[in-house]
This record gives sequence, C-alpha cells and structure tokens, in this order.
Amino acid sequence: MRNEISEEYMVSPYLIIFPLYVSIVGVGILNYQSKLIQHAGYNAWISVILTGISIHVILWMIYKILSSNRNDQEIISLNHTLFGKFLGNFVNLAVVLYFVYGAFVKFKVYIEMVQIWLFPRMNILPLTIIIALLIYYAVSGGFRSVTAIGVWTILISLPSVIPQVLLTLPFLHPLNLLPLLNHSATDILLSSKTMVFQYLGLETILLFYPFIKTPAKSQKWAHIIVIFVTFLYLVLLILAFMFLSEGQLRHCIWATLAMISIFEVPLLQSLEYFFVSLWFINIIAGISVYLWVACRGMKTAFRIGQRPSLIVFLIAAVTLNYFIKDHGRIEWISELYGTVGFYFIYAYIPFMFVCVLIRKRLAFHFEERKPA
Amino acid sequence: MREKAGIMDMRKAFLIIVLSTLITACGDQNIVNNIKLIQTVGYDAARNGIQSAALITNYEEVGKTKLEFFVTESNSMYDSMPRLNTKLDFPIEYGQLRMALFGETFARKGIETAITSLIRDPKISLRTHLGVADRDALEILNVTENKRDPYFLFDMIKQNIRSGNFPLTNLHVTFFNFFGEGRDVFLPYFTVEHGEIKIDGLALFKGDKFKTKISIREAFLLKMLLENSKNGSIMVPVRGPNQNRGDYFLMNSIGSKSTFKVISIGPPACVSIHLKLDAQVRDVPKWINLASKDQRVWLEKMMEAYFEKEIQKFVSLCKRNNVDPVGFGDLIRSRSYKWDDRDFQDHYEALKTTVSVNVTIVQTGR
Amino acid sequence: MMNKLKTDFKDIDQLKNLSGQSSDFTTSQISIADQQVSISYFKTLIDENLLQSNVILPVQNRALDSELRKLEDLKAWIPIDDVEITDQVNDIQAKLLKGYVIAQLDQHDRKCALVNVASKEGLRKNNDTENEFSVVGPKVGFVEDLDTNIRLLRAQINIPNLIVKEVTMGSASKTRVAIIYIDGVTNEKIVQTAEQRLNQIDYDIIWDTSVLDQFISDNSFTPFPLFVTTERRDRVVFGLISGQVAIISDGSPYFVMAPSTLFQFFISPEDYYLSWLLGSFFRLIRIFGVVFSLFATSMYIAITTFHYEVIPRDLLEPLIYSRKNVPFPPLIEVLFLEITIEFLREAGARLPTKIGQTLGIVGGIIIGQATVQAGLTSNILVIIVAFSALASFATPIYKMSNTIRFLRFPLIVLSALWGGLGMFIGIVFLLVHITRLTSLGVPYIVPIYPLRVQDLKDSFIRPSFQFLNHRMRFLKPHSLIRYKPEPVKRKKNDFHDK
Repeated sequence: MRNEISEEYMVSPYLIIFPLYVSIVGVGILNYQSKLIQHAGYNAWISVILTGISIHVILWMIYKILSSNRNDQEIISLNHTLFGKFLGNFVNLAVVLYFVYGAFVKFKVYIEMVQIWLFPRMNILPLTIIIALLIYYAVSGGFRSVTAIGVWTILISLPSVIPQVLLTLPFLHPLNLLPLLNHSATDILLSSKTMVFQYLGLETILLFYPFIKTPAKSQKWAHIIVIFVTFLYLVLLILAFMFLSEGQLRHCIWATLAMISIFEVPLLQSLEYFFVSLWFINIIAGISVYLWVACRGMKTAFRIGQRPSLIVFLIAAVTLNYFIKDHGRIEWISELYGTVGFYFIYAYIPFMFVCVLIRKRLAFHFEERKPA
Repeated sequence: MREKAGIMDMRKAFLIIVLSTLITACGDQNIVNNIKLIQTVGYDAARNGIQSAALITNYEEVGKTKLEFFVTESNSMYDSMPRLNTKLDFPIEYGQLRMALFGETFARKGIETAITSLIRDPKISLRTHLGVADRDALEILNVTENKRDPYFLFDMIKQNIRSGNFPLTNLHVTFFNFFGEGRDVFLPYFTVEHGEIKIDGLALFKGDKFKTKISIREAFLLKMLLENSKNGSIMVPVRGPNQNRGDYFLMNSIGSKSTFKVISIGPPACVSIHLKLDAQVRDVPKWINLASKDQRVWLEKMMEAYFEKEIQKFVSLCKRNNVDPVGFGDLIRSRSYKWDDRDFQDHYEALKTTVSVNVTIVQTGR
Repeated sequence: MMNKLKTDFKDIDQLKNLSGQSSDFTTSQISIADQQVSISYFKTLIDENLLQSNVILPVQNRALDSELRKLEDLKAWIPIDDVEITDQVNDIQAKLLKGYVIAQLDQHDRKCALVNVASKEGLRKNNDTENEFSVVGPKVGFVEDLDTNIRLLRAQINIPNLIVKEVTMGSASKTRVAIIYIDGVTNEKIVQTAEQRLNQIDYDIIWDTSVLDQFISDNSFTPFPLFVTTERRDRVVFGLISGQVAIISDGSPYFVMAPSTLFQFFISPEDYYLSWLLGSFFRLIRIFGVVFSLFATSMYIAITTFHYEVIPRDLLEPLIYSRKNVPFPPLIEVLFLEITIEFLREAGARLPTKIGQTLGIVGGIIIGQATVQAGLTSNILVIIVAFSALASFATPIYKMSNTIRFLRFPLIVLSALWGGLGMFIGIVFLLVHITRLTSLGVPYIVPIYPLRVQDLKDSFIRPSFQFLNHRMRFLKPHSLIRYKPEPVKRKKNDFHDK
C-alpha cells in the first residue's frame, strides 16, 4: 500500500496537527457549552477532561492498529484483510459513508448558523453551490493542499479568537464555578458523552495515516493536538461558565459568540458577525479533510477515482442541503451523527484494536510453529 | 478530441448554471441608508397591552439631525415591530439599538417578555443599556428629542458608569442577573428635573418586577460591593470632637475591593463583608488638617465607621424589600451542595451580615 | 551542507575548467610565429578590438623578427602597461574577472601573463532603474543588451563560479537566452528544471523575458506572477547569491528570478540598506498595504450592504450622510470608482511622464470631487478607494501590484453577494489557490507552508545581518552559510575604556 504514495504527496509528521485540528473543531466550539450543561450543569468542565482522557486512549489504540502491520497502514485495507472481501467491502462502504455524513453535518450546521446570524431570508442554494465549488478546488489539490488549508485556518482563526475571548475578563464571575462537585457521577458521564461529539473528526487519521512521512513519529503530535483541543475547550467552557450564569447559558445558545460580542474595537463593533464569517475557513478546512478521506477510502476500497466520487458527494450534499430546511430535522441529523460517531469511536475502534491484537498473536504463533 | 470537446461543453453548461444561480443570490440586503435604524426604544404599559416608542434618527443633512418618534400600541410586545413598519418608508432594523427604557408601570408589571425578546434577536448588541423611568418612558424620550442625539440616554448611563456612582450594567449584566440564581436585576432609574433628564439612582427588581428604587448614594455602595470602583463619589458627614454642627466632605473612590466570606450557609445564613477602599479626599472642612498624619488616621477611622453603618443599612433595605442585587443568594449557592432558591428566599430576611471596612486616604489633592 | 561556498582554486587548470562552464568564457590558441600561445578570457568582460589591435597584432608583428621564448618577452612586446606575470592562482582569478586576458605559453603552464583589456564601454547612457526605484542604494539597472547585462553582473559577483549558460531560442528571432546561476550554491535540480522548461519552448520571437516567464511558469491559470521579474542589479545579485537562477533574454532589461515565493514580491532591496528595525517596519507596512488594498473596498461593500450593525455609532452618522444621495447600491458605486482608478492608471502608464502627472492630478482631484458633488459616490468611498490604490502601489514588484488590483474585483463581487461571508469565500479561494501554486516546483508560499521556521526569519520582518547568514533552506542550496555571523558583542564605548 505504502509504495503507491509518492513522496511528494506526503507531509511531515508534525503537520498532522493541522488536519486533525480542523476536523475536530467545527461549529461546535461556538455553542457546545449550552449542550454540555444539560446534565452536569456547571460541573461539566470535569466531563471535558474525562472525554479528553478517553480520546487519548482511543488515539493510542488507533496508532497501535495502524502501525501493527506494514502492509495495512489504513483502515480500508485492514478491513479487507480482517473481514474478507465481501464483509470488508461492506464495512468500508460504511466507513466512507460515515465520513461523507460527517462532512455533510459540518456543512449543514454551518449553513444553518449563517442563516441564523447573517442571512435569515436568503436563497441559500447559490451559496452552497459556491461553497461546493470551493471544496472541490481545495480537495482536488490532494492531501497537501488539504493540510495547507488547515495551516491557514490555525493561523487566521486562533489569533482572532483568543484575544477577544480574553477581553471578557471584567465580566467574569468566578463564583459561578462553585460548588465544585454537586452533580452525580452519572450526570457527569452523560455530559462526557455529549462532549464526544466535539471530538469527532479524530478518526480521519485512520485513512490519512499512510500520507505521513515516518508515521510513527506523528503520534506525539497527534497527542499534542488532542491536548491542545481539550485545553481550548476547557478554557472556553470555563470562561463561558464565569461569563454567563447557569440560567442564562440555557437561554444563550451561542456562548462563545456572546463572549466575543462583548468586545468592541474603535473601528468596528459587533465583531461576532465578522467572526461567523471568519469561521467559514475553519469549516471549509474540516469538510475538505472529511471529503478527502472519504474519496481516498473510495479509491482504496473500490478503485473508484477520487474526482468522480468527490463530485458525487458534493452534489449529494448540495441537494440534501436544499431539501432539509427545518431546524428540528437538522438537530436530528446531527444527533444521529453524534450517536454513530460515538459508537464508531468507542465500539468500532476498540473492536479493531482487539482484532489486530489477536491477529498479531496468531501470526506470532504461526511463526513460532513454522520451523517445527 | 471529441471527448475533450464534450468536457468543454459540460464545463460551459456548468458555468452558465453557476452564473445564473449567482444572479438570484442577491437578497437580505440592508443597505445602510435604506433602512430605519431604531436607536432607542421605550416600552410603556397601555390600557390594553403595550405602547412602544421608537426613536429613529432622520439623517437629512449634515448638522441637522432630526429625531423621529414613532409610537405604536399593540396587544403584545411581539406585535409592535410589524405595526411600526406600517408607519415607515424603509424597513426597520434593530442592529443599532443601544437603549431600551421601561416606563414605571410597565416595569412594575414585569419586563420578562421584553428581556427575552431582546436576548433572542442576535442583532441586538449585548452592550445595549436598559433603564427604568419614573413615569412613562415616552415622556422621558420626549425630553431627549430636542437633544438631537438618539444615544443621549445611552451615553448618559455609560458616562455615569465610567466616572460616576453607577455599577456596571448593560444588557449582558441584566441577563446575567435575571437568569442567574440568587441575584436580582438592577437598572438605572430616570427622572426629569427642571425639564432635563436626570439619573436618580437605581431601580431594584425582584424577578422581572420593579420593586424599589435606591438613591445615587446607595448606588455607590452597591458599586463598591460589586466591583472595583475606580470612580464615584459620596458626601461623608463629619463631626469634630469639639464641634457641635455636622459638616460634610467629599470623598472620591480611587479603587476598592470587596471580599465576601460565608460564615455559615444557614439557614439563616451569615456572611461577612470586607471592603478595602482607597479614597481621595480633597474638599474637607477647614478645621481638618490633611497634612497631619493623626488627623488622616482619625478621618479614615471615621469613614470606616460611616461606611460600615451605611452598608448595613443598605443590606437591610435590600432584605426589607426582598431584593438581592448584591448576589448574597449566589454566594450561599456557591458554598452549598444542595441549594434551593425558594428556601433561601424564605430566610433572606434573617440573613446576617458583618461588615468591616478598611479605608486608606491615598490622595489629598494639591 | 553547512559548508560555505568555496571560491579558491588549486591551480589555473581548475579555474579554467570551472569558468569553461560559462558560455562567455573562451580559450583559444593563437599562433605567434611558430609558437602556440593559449589565451583565455571572458568575452563579455573584455574589449575585443583592444585585444586584437593592442595585443595580438603587435605580438605577431614582433614575432616576425624575434623569437618568443618566455612570458617576459610577451610583457615587453605588448604595448600595454598593465601586464603582469604571475603564478598566483588567486591573483589570476581576480584579474580574469576584471577583464584581463590570460596568456600561457602552454595550456597547462602554471605561470601566465595577465593583460588588461577590460571593456569600459557598452553601457547604455542611462542605465538607471526606471520602474523599480529606490531612494537608498544603487540605482543600477539593466539594459537591453545581454553582454552588457552579464558584464554588470560580473562586476558585482566577481568569482568564476558565476556560470552563464546560453541557449538560442525563438525559431525566427534566434534570441540568445542566458541562464545564470552560481555553481556551488544553486541546486542543480533548479537549473535543470529551468533549462528543461526553456528547451521545451517552441515560439517564434522572444520579445522580452516576460514572455519566457509565462512559458516556463508552472501554472498559467493564475493571476499571480510566479517569478520575480526585475531590472535591478542588486535584486538579481541577491537572488543569485541566495541560490536562485536568473534567466534573461537578449534585448530585454528584465531578469526572471526563479524559483520565487510570494514573500519575495514584497521585499525591496532597500530593506537591506536601512537598519533592520526600519527595514522590518517598512516591510510590514508594505504587507499591511497589500492586505488593506485587497480588502478595503470589499469591506465597505459588505458593511454598507449587509452588516450595518458593525458600524460604530460615531461612524454611523458620517456614513449615512455620505451615502444619502447616492442612487446606486454600494456595488455599482464601488465598481464605478474602482474602474475610474483603473482608467487613470492605464492612461497614466501610456502617457509621457509629465502629462501622466497632470493626468493624475486631474483624475484624482477633479473627478473625485465632481463625482461626490454629483452624488454618484460617497466621499468616504473616495477616500477608501484612493487609499487602497495608493497601498497597492507600495508593492515593489509591478507585476504583483497588478495582481492585487485585479484580485480586488472578484472580492468586490463576492462581498456584494454575501457580505462578510462572501469576502471570506474569496479569501479561502485565494488561500487554497496560493497553496496549490508552485514556482519551478518549489511551493509558492514556502516559509508558511510547508512551514520552514528557519526561513521565516526573513519574511515578515528583515532581521539583523547576524541572523541572515544562512541561505533560504527551501532552495536547497549546496552551501547553506553565506558568511560568518559577527559574534554578538558590545561595541567598545569610550566611557568604558579607562
């Protein structure tokens, strides 16, 4: 498998922090606070830490799975080897569709945000077509171009978020965080489960792993970015908790944007509008990684060219987006994605991990027997 | 070759589709000179429903800004905007709203519908100020008409927060207090004096209902309890050891820090308040010599005693009216694992507070 | 690869071998009586008439009646003062590149005579830079003659490692095209790619290097110039010494520097002539100017058409007043003014300098004033458009400033469609586009992506020279170090000397 990818399409190990960051962080970072407090209230910051730790375990498993065998360095061919041709193809189709679904959810949720904040009355079809074209252009540049958008995203979006959020300082009420533990463990775990949705996207590494030069070295970076994202979520969560009272946060869905909107510069006010637009680059980068991964999966699994499958995916996304309009259904779609993603991460990956372990054991066994 | 031409045709067709969709894309435009920007709004209770007054600037010519007034009556809050639209030549927009004023009767009936409708509109800035009038909001707004400044009230509040006795308030702080457990809303309170608008203290709310009003002096006490008061002034009475007539002197706050300590979470709860205040004292009666250290220490001691007494008085005023602008409830909540708002309310009257104040005279002027 | 470039030679043979790689280096045998004398020189550096009339002819005449036995004889025979006999290879190297001719009795002699026949003529009367002006620093520009240009280069890069390779191109024009690089610095892969691309061109007449530029560029569907084109000598020399390849065709005063990155278009040689603090500041100003020029008008459209809520209240009044009487939507208003500025620029470029200035005043002041008074545009927009036009001309490379002016229009249309979001759609398109571009196979935005932290030093700012001693790593130069950095030390102060 590895020999197929030429050196010029590969990226250095440290660069994986960019596609990972953009595929993990999406619209969710602007409003996850209000979802998180439904169970654990203002103790939910513990849930973020818990989920972060579990994600590290999953990441470790992913690296174990991928580095187990020199020939199967991504999940598609591993499925083939483990489950045979027919079942393997079935699983692969599911995996590919899962990523396409994820890209669509990112797309739809952002479009909805645009409709809420910017253009409540606009005909959204032309906008989606332009965005689809843009995604096509980005993804067809290959993995390096997808990574590059990630670099731009981090360069542009992070410096513009952090200072703005820090300007909420005069409005903070640290008292809100107290008492430290007044929710049951079940509540906190339930919130942790909600939080998993914010970490989906990590699994894209299952497919782009072979595109990393000396992939083993990238594990350190993958963990670093997960730590960073956890830290970011934690900081934004705690700031939002101190900025908004609990009852207020239940009313205020876009907590991160609320924090940004309190800040004014001399030339512009209401910067949250600028920020909703700016977040576009993050979304595009995330969708590009997802779709690139899906197309790559189509290519390795079914030998279908990346371009045709990309075009089909994009047309499907634009059409679906056109027909799904009401908020309830969008909510349902993203919740379903959350559930599927939860099982993908906490059931499928550990299962694969166990399979790989068993296979390794068996192979070891065989080799031991052979000389005898 | 033919295949290539086919691809080119496809591309052309695609381009045409894209271009034609682009033409239909325009919409949702709010060209800045083709909309009516509501800048200040007032809500009053009317006989059957609500009377809302919108202040819109008519930018006709440079230097000749004219304020336009639109009053609409409707059955509910939500209906006021469509009704207003029937009176205007351009669509109205709320994106530059900076001030919402409630009439006294409206505020006594409850401002929840108004507040929730403000929070739901993403266009309304969280820096918008709210206020309560001691009469109909319409009357106060009428006074601002000849000021030719649609943001007169907004600037007035802002100025008083920055360099006066007012604690920080705006839409965000109001939301925070309104939805937060164990705290109550307070808003600037307006009145008219000699045909001019005047801020006459703070209106304290219980839930969404206007309960009572406190003076500017008490607003300063609240400011010191809530935040670092870098400004604000208060007249402190003083009586010398061999003086039979009381005098007053002016004290400016340079900085303050309040710390609350929960002694017991009760019920009844007990809270100790410690206030550290850096003050500037300039205009003192002649018989006080600020240059002497002894006199300064004496003055500090006297101010401490005065503030301790005043804060206790202010707290008991809050307790009497069952309002909690300081957030004692929140304080107790943060220390107790099981907290019930109603339970706290029942014992609020019995809340015990001990106050200790530490004043340092930092500046005495030239 | 941490070594410095080596420029010293073991013996004269080695020197001649390396120099022989350049196509303007000639070695020939002339017969003087029955003796063969080998002479070598750089064609572009010497005056060939002088060589014929003052060296070869007198020597040949004298050889008729006396015999040439040793080099000293040559020195006596040549009627030029500046003749020197030496076997010091460093000396030979230095003189060779100043326009001396090497004469040896035998091709492999260590000892040789150096004859000064350096050319002094050939420069165009006025070879000041015309389009890339700078206040500080030399104003030497190139002219339309290839040999002169190479001589100008050799005057500053005085080592034989400067290799000039000539190819003939253009089926009808048979133009000489030179590929110039420094042996031992430039990665030969870059040279090979450049040569290969040039050789693949089949075109009839090469008018200018800019034509070649388009033929060898990696992507023709881009508004961005992929190679720096310059007429400044210092810029070319700087490019060569950092490991780029320079390409020029005969008859063009412009060099193409390849591969180029986006940042190099915003670097002015002046940055290096000023103190690093000032240099960095002006470079940042320039980059800010580009950003401002790209986005200012589309911001105006986005804000006035869609996002009125971001206007601060103090600006609300002037903005509404200024737009009050404008009958068009902001898009038409902006297009009208932008196109006016384009007319002015285009007309100004075609007219003689003095009329051009008058035109600028007429256009800038009269038209601006009149449109505002007629209520066709708002005066705030006039200010914004004028500012962004000004900012776009702060870019040192003219081609890049054209690109920036061009890119404004799609951004304007996008922001008229979708406001701030449209602007960001445009920005993302641009970002994806520039990340996909390559220049001779080197990524266009290189110190940023792929990230090269070491190369980022000389991108947004111009650091002090003690940090600039490395060549850019993305060019994969053969020797990485340009010079030994001065160790950081306090300059001695009179106060501290006892």
